[in-house]
Amino acid sequence: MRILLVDDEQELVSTLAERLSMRGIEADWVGSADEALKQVETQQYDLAVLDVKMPKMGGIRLKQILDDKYPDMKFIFLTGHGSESDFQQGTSEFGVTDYLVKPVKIEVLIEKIKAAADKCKV
Amino acid sequence: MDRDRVAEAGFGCFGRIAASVSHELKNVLAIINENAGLLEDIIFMSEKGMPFDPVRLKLLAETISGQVYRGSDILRNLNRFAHTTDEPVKMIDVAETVSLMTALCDRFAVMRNVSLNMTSPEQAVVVSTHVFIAETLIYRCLKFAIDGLSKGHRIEIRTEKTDQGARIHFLTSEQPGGIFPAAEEKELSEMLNAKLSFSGKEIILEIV
Repeated sequence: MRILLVDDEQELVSTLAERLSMRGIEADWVGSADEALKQVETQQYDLAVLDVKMPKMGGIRLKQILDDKYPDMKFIFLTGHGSESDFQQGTSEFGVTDYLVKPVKIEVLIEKIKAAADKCKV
Repeated sequence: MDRDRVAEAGFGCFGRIAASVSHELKNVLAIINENAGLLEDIIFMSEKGMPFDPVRLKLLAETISGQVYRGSDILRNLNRFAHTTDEPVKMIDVAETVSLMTALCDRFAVMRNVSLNMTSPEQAVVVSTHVFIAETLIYRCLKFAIDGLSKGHRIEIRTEKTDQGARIHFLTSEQPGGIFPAAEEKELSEMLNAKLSFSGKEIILEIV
């Protein structure tokens, strides 16, 4: 499985990618939705981890575009919302079901990635 | 004067700024969390015999401490903003107040890909005013401009001294969409005894 991480906080996303790679998960990272759209044209990804709030284009809009082009791609969102219930309220209409509130525990993220990988196999 | 409308505008200002600050602090904590986690990973691997690079560790430490200072700056601004409610009416340096509100609104601008550029006068511009209402009005001027501009545009903010008090100019690089001032801005201006005008690419707020 190959993962693309997208977050405008580059010190976060680059470190997260490195830690995932140390755990045997192939992970690339980019700092914006625009860069993500270019990156997916050069490399195939099974799953994207998207920050919700980014300048110019947020993660939810990015997911909508990627969904159209790559319907098999899975998504996990990272949010800075105060609580999960606030986040759920704000995103329910967009079909966002898989998300983690920052700061994330890498073990929890890996569980979600593995769960998404199992869905891909099915 | 519709005091309920004024109160709602004030609560809205405080709530949105607090939410924005909390989002940004979550990012700061997330970066510290990941870099501290990476440090743990490197130590774990070194215990298994893999050598580590001291330069790499130094960079990690610098990243963590950089984010601590970033968080501290964010909280300092929020703290200053929160404390303006200690005394409803007092003497303030308008340029400093504009600077504070510009800093607090910076994240809104970044999210919309709009840049804020502030120039301060050489001398202090001091007025006696209802501080939180003035801040709310400045916030609403900034928010209207930020939300109404297309991506890539900018807002220049300039404060000057007048015979009666202070004048704040918000100049935009294109005409923002939307209606301004709305009822809330009119009520806030009335409470502050301020004059608010909008023409094309400029909002002018005069506080007396």
